[in-house]
Amino acid sequence: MILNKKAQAAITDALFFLTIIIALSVLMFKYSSTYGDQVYNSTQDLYFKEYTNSALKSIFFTQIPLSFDKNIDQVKEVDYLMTAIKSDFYSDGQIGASKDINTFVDDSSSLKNDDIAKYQLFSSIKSLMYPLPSYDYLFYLLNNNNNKFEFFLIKINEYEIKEQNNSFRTDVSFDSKDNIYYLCEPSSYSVLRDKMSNTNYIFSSSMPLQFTKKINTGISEIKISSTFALWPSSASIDKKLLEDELMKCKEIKID
Amino acid sequence: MNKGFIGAIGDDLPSLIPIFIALTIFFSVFLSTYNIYTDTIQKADLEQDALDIALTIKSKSVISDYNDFENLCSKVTTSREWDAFLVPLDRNIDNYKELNLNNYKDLILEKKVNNNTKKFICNNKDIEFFNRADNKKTYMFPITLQTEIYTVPVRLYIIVW
Repeated sequence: MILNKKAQAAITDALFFLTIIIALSVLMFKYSSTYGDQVYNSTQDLYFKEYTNSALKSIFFTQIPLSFDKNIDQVKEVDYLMTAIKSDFYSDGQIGASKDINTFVDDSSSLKNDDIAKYQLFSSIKSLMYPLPSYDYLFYLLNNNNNKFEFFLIKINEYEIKEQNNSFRTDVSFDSKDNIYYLCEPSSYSVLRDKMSNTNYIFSSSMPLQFTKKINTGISEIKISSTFALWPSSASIDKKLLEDELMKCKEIKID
Repeated sequence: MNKGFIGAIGDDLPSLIPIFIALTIFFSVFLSTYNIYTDTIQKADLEQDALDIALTIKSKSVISDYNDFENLCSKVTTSREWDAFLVPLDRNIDNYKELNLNNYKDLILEKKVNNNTKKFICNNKDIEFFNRADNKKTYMFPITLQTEIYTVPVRLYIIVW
């Protein structure tokens, strides 16, 4: 009887061996498919962190025309961007002509020239980030004395969702529309944090600044923190979230 | 006649088939995993080296002149093939030119130094080597350059292969 079952036992052992090998192979595939992901992610994180750092330094150290021109070669007066911003802030404790930080004054306004520094800051950041079209970003200056924003710029890439019904399925495509630039006036930092909570991958750099403001009794020192942050456009922020009463974002369409 | 009893070796012959299949599967999966492992290690090393080169060249907030740029390039120590160059970053986005392998040499910033035109490029390597490389990496950073009169933002490109 045992002699009759000898071959059957050998095949069974072989099949067990095959099963074990297949299980090991699946484990090896699973391991190899994720191997290196963490290293890759941390390298990417470091790159974008350094990018935001470089962008922030470029904003501080670049020189700008002291007019609404963009070509620095064709103007008579230039200054460092941050110096111009600080000078603008010194006289009235605000950046730009309007008390609303989310707007520029009309072209016909007599105070239009007070918007030069604000406009050049807006243009500089826009041109600095233009080589990275698939990333959205924000830049703000936060007054640490009263926790109010003195400047807030955000750019988002709006996607248009198109649904096309075929016979068997519905195709959904995301078409990228133009970039949308907003100047905003968030009511508090916690509002901003809530709006940004949907973006999983956000890279930011911050730098403390010292502004001064003219007051009746002399000069007041204001601690400002400047922050630049960017994230992939795929983590799209709904523009309705930005245009509500808490963020008070207004779209800026100037070049 | 004994059923199922061919011989000492004959009985084991059918069991060899699953064993061969198992060994084939195992070694092919092992080889594939090993290739993925070495490939991933190479790519990670390349990216790390590229970042190290980038951090060396952009270690200063403002590049003061061409000599400063040359000094930064000379500080890079790596066994890899690499190059780095500066391209203008115009404030007017209508003048923005997308960089690609066909036009990049035309876009590199130039400066007249002692009646010679010097390009802001570290090694001036032939881009064909970069094209043909299996593993390559490109990083771009915005930095600031002091020209003769102004301080302007520029794009720093680092290519490593």
